[in-house]
Amino acid sequence: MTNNFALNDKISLRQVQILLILGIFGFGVTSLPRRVAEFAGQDGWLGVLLATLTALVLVWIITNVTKMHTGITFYDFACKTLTRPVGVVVCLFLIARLVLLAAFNLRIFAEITQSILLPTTPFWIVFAAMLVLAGFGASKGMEARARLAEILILIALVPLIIVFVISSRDIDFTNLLPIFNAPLENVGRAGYAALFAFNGLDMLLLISPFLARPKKLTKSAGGAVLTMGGLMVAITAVTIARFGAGNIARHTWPVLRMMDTAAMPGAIIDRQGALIMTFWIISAYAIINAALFFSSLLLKNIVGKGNHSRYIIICLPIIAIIAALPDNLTQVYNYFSRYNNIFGVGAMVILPIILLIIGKIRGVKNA
Amino acid sequence: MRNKKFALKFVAISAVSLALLTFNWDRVEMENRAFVVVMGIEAGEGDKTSFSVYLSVVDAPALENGGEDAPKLLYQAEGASLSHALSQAGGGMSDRLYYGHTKAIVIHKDALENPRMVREIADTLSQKGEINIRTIVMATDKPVSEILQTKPKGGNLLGTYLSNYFGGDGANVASLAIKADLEGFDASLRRDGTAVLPKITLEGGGDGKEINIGGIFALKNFAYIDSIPEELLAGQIWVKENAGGMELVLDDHTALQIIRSRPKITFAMGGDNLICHVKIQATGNLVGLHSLRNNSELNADFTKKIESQITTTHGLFQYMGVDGLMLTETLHKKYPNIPLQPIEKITIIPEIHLEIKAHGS
Repeated sequence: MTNNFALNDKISLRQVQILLILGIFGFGVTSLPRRVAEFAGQDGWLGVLLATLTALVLVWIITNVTKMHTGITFYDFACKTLTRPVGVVVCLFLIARLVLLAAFNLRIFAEITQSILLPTTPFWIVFAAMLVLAGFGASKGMEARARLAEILILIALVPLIIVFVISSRDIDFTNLLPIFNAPLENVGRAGYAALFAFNGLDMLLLISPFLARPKKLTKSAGGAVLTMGGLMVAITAVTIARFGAGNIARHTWPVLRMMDTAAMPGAIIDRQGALIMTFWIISAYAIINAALFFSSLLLKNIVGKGNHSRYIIICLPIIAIIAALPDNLTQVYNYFSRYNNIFGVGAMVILPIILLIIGKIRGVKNA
Repeated sequence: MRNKKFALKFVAISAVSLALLTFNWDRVEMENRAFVVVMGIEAGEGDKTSFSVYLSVVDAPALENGGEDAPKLLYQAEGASLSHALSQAGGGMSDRLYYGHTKAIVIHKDALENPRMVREIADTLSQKGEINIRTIVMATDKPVSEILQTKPKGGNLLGTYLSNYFGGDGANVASLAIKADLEGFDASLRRDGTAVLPKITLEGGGDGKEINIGGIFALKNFAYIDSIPEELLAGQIWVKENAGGMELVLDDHTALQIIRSRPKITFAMGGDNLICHVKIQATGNLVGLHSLRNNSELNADFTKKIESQITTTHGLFQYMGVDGLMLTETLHKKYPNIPLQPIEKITIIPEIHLEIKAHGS
């Protein structure tokens, strides 16, 4: 009997793209049009465009750092480049970033589930169900994650795109007028807010030991980000056109509201909230799974012993507790905004730039 | 060996957790669910500042037998606030009321005359997540309970009938009615305190009562101000929609059926007033009685008729101070640098380009 799949814990570039798409395109998108319209009104989509271009630059920086340490772990690379104590601090910073990212996504996922599907089910049930699944997936290693992502992306994206196209039909696109009306500064602020819809880009720093062909990473990761960015621009423009820049602030998750209330042809399904939840469940799974996987790997590297699975067990209750801490959704988004300013900027922008510069100066090469 | 032990523990914990998680907190059996199809809102009978709600409800077992013959149960409740009245309406029921499939909301004129009640209706219903923000909103001066209990032509449920009535385009050209939904109603009130709702009423008496849709109720400063009858509303179809299907009849009974039309609105300053040019490209076929007049004569007459319809409707909205044609919104979108003008200061100039395609079959 022949085995068509090599069990070497290496993933292809296509799998990297799929993992990135599922990891990036998460709950940030559900409130993205509201956040950008807050700064730039009907020109909010320009902010998303600006964020996409910025994300492409970040992909270039991050993947170049990743290519500097193919074959060795990020922990080893950080210690080599920044000295061991600083390397440990950087890894602890990334662990905190990932654990908090998982916690915020878990809480927002639970809030959406409660709002659309399960209004009386306690949060801890939703937390437990998601964490058990994501933890189990993460314990199976990178290759299993990648293969699962290849299956999940079809289940997730197809209904989402169908509902999105249907939602776009009866929309008054004049709501996007007047165009280029927002001051440049406001578009910039919208762009900054939209950049955090690409939360998780920094996980590219951590995948180097699993890459089968690291040389082409920049191109394929850039392609994935460009695709997601394009989709985000389209979703933002359509959502703003649907509700109008003035009214969008009244919807917590305008993208969900738009898709839920789209008139489906033939009226087989009257409300498709449950249908589009398919995508968000998978997306939440992908993000939490990725955060668990990489944070446990980093922990294992710092401690230096044991299997990464036991570190997943340590992370699970911490994520659940942090997710349960905020009193309400307003508080969640307030904390998330502060988190993005510190951890998001730190992990996606400052850290890769520092690593790239120091790595180049010190001439750090692969193992 | 250690890894195997760990895997076993993990699987055991996962299995137990998943088994526990199968408890279903939100389980509501279909037969225990009641679907609100149409909601009626009136001012309270005694206290005119309280709410009286009527819910036309279909239960699941009845729906399984086919929606058309499903019994419609009418629930009524009163409350000091709308949300109180709604919770009262569901309070005495064994079934759980579900608003996710509500097709229409009918508001009585009494409630529309009170600005606080109008704002409360818009705020409460648009924030009630279960209700689709695209639910049709209509106004009436007849008792809402009678409207909710009247079976429309074709035997459909009233909600389904109303939803089909406006069709996919949101307008019924035959009755010159344009759909108003909860989202638009709320947005319009928030913008400038005005709104335009299509009117639903009853014709005939006794068992022969029939639903009739036509005309509008206009709201200004969050309260009912006046109504416009159906026959004076053609202008809003020309300016806001595709008038395809509309029939124009001249005094000599020559009739033109519009195939399609497309409005284009531009603005220019003309002294103190703002001039709104409404350019309409329309095509149509002559139908019915064969006219002996030549094409250009007929074209000129029909053009005049369309122009007159547009200026009449605009004049009525101007008189009421309600922007029923959404001109100020269009102005803001297309010409952000022109300062917003009250509707009374906007002069409308229709430019009709009508092409008569065929004289009968």
